[in-house]
Amino acid sequence: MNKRILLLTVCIIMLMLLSGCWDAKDIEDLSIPIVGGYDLVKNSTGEESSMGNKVAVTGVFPLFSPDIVSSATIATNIAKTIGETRTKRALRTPQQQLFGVLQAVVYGEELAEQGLHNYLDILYRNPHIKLNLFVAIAEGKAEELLKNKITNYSNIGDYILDLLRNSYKESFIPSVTLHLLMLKSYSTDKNPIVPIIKATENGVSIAGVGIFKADKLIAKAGIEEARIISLLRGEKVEGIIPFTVKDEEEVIDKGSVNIKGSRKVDVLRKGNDFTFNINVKINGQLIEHYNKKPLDKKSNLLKEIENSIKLDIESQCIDFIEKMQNEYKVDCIDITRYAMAKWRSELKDKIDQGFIENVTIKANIDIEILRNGELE
Amino acid sequence: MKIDTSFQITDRQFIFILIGGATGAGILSLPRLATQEALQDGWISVLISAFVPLISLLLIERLCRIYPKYSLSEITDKLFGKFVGRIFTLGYIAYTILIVSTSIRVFVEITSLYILQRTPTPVILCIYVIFIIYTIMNGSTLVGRFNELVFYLLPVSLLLILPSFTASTYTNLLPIGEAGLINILKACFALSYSYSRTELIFVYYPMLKQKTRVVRDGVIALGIITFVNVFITIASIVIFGTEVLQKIIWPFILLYKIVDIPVIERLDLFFLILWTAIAARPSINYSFVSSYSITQFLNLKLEKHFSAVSITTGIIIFVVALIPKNVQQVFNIITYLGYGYFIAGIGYPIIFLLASLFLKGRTTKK
Amino acid sequence: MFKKLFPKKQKDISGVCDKSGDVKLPANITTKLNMLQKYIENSSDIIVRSFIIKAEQDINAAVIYMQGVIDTQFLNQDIIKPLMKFNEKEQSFNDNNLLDYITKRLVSIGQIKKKASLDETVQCIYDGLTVLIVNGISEVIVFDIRGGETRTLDEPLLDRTICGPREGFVESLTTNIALIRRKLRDTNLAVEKLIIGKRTRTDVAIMYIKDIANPEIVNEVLNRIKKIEMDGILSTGYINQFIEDNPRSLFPLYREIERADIAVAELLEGRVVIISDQSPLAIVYPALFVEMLQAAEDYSTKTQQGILMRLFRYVAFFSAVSLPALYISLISFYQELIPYELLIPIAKNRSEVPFPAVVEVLILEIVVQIIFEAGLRMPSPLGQTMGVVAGIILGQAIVSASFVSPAIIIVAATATISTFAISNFCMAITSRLLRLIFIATAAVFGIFGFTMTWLFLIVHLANQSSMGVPYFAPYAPFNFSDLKDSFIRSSIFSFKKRPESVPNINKRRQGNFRRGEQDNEN
Repeated sequence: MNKRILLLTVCIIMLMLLSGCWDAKDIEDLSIPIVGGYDLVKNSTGEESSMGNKVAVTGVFPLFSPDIVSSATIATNIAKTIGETRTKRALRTPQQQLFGVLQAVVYGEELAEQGLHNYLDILYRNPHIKLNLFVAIAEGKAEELLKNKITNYSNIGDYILDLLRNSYKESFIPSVTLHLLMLKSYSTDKNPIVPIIKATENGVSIAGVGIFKADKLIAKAGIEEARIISLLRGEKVEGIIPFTVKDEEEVIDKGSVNIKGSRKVDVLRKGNDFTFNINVKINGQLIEHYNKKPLDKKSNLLKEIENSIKLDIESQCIDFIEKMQNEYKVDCIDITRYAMAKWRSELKDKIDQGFIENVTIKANIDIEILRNGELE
Repeated sequence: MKIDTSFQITDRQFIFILIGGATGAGILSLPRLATQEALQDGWISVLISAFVPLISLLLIERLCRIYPKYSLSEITDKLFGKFVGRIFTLGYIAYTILIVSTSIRVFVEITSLYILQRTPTPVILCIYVIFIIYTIMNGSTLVGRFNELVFYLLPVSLLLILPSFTASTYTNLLPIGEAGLINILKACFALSYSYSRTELIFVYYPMLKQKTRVVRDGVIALGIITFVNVFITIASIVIFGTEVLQKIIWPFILLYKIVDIPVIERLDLFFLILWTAIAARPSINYSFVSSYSITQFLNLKLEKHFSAVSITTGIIIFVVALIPKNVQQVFNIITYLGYGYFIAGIGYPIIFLLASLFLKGRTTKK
Repeated sequence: MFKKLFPKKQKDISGVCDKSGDVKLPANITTKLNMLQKYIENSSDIIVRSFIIKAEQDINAAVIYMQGVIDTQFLNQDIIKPLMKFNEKEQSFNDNNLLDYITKRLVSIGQIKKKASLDETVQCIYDGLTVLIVNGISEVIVFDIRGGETRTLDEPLLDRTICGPREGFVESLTTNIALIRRKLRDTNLAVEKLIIGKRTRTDVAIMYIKDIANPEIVNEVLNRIKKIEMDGILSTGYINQFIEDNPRSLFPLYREIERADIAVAELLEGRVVIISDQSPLAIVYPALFVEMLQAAEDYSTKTQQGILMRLFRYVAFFSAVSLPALYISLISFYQELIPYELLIPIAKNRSEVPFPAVVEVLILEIVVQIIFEAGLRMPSPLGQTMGVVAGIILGQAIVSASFVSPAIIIVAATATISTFAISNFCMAITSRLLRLIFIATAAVFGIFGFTMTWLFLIVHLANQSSMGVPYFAPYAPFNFSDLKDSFIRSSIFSFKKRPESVPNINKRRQGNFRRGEQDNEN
């Protein structure tokens, strides 16, 4: 009895083995895009509907053949849907395509202004694409950005990747992943901010952040503004702030502080009036200052430095909040969710219409310089 | 002490068999089902829904205590006579086979989606069914040992979720209790497929060496499962939020896609490797139960014919698993199986208990 | 199974002893010699030495022995010489007590037996014992002065340690038993001898400790050995194949040991050790899977080192069995799991190779297995050449010729070296076979095949039993207290009870000694 079972199993297994392995695709036969760029191609009739436009997909494909000098090809395909561009690419590429290794995605400015929702779907639906690939907006067209020549780096894909990966550590620009983007564009109470990159002579640099309402880009903020937004958002805030200490219109000290920030938000409600208190706590390390006076307990210099930074940031915050409420009219500092946390069912439908403009937002900054480096 | 009888299990293995009962297809889409009606209070539904299997456990244990050496088909034969008893057994067999088939089918769908895209579904199904046959052919001792060994992959999988918490927002859970009791209870009802594990006791009870601690073991098993379910639901809610959660078919797998770890990199694919083993358990537990019940249904001798019946059961499962055309149909079947649980897990023991009281009353009169 | 192997041959393998019934030997020496001549005429190394025992009347005697098998010094000094130089004046004797006289006063040999039948006498001659036949005595006296050249005690070939004793078993049964007796002086150590093999008549000793080993297991072992019917048992390997629980299993269900200290450790845990003459390997039943990845060295060193060594061995087992399969699954099926920075160099290397990854792995696997087999049989002067050929030429040239990519060389080399890191030789051989199975399934189904094969393997392991004891204990059925000696080795103070996975009847083995407590008392 056991023998017969064994024979049967063996026959079945042989049958399966002999019919071939379906999924084997060797690695050198693959064409692997690591960075994808998406651009809007307007219809010739000038229609603005999001369904009618075509999309240009640019991919950075590292090359495996050792005899070829340049290490990546960058190719663009235009079609009505992203899936169709894949077909067009397949017609031109000798290798099979594999999308699971995608590391970063760049969207053109125009496309972002129209709305990213349609173009995120294919990425999210694909089970192989990882959800923490980096997202950035290109100033202008993504295609031109990706075809920019770079020197001293393997290829532009790696360059953008490393740039986006490390952006949050030093310059107040957040690293946004696909997961965060999807989450925040689908949830009612969250709006993402995405780094904007632009092409320079020898490479790519970050130019600021883009402010989104759900999935549409509505405004671009420069580096200075991005700093404030980041501080107010309170997520992974790290970077360098310059300061000047003035003593009756005379600058007595200049320098910079390397800071880390966090925040706490609470909401008070009176009837239909909401007041948000954002308490930002900043810890810093002094990295340079020009005045030779020592920073010990006797002199007040350290306190003055802290004070000047505090006042400076507070005034910038007030300016920004006003701009946000009047011009952008969108909650880009992620405070609505605290109100939702308390009155979710009530506010769910009201958030999108005129909520953030009519609330009071106060920012309180608390700064403390902990270390002075090696010198006193 | 020498050679184990192949149909005995220890009570520790009993716990693991119960745990392995339904952490299969049920748990993958659990957060989505829980938050459909109850929104951010889905986890409360999951917590409350632990009581249903508890009631079922107590009822079944009470029944099996009266007939400690008999499994389901023997109990029904005794209580209702051969004809009606066989109908009950048939219903039970159909229920267990459907559970295995849906569980396997869901697993094969996931494998097809994530791991082997172009391999035809019947081939993957065939390998899995061969594995199941091989395991159950040798009796429940092997089933118990397998469950014991594979259980530890579950806490490992849960630990791997922890890095994803860096991308979580706890305010998604607040305010607590806003959904209201009615919605929470509605969600409990929707989760009924994930309750199914206590019907296994009907067959495994007579195989236990010591029957004194069944309730304690059952409570431990249910406790562990409830903890796992609540943990996953809470994790899904804080990481995804209730709105995005409705769009995701398998929230459990997507939990792993959020963050990278050095070396392993893609945690979700690594998790699926572990999942192959974890999802094998309910299939094996229920297949064994079907096979055993069929053997008794046909009045065959265990030692001689169990292997043959196992193979036949495997083939039946293979055929039934191929019937649904896509995942949506499988979900429909799962909803009906959820209702089936109330019959098999709660209805059956109540009917049997009443019948046994009735029978006792009759005999005492005589 | 036995019947299937030997359906009708039973008549042929019967030796001398089964033929006619017992024929008693007469008293006359010439008749005896004539009867024996038939059986020994074809063997020129069996010597018949006649002499005369000095007495009132000269008594003819002869000593029959097998050259080379006996220690001639004892023959000359302690048998022939005292008999030839017997001084009758010391004691009076008559024919009645000649036998007693010889055995109790004249011959100073340690082991003496008396035999009366022809068959037994012939068998004793061929067993290598010395037979003394005396005119006038119908019985013969049999002495055991076996000696001759045997291998000296040496370090065992496979089970090497640095921090432990280095005596290995040799081919002499008495020496082997003596090695164990020296280490284990317990009064309860039982040694039961059996003779198995119709023609080889190999002495087999079964050793166990009476008040520790479970009597059911001991009886089972004895019964199975007694049922062996084969004409030649040349080593313990033959015995193994007859008595193991499941010959179809992939894994060794016994443990082969070469050292006496391991044998003693096993005996102390309640196991049964089987030693056979002419074989330097002893086998231990029951055996568990955990033992296959343990080494004697673990116990002789510090706890922390023991833990690290054990964990490494498990990693070695995993990599020896599944590393090439993992390589195939990742390269050919699941490229997303490979870190992105590693992907590009691997792909660059692979683009030069014309074969798919599966063929690459198979080429290298075949080459490595052939080198392995050649290395076992290579005479030592050529060993160095082999190293050069295999390592440099095949390794370097095969990459330069673009037959394989460098990554697979690393994988194959790691897998091969890990095979030898597995402490049990049989398990290492098994892992070679398993590696091929894994490669086959991974080639067709990728990572899914890999996982399913591991699951099949685990279920297969959990299903085996060695002499009735579950093979995969203490992992399944789970036994928490036994885990302290499985993939880790906890400190020796925790070894208070014997492992429960092997049934035994004496639980406790250590007292309550702890160094700290003792110091505190003072």
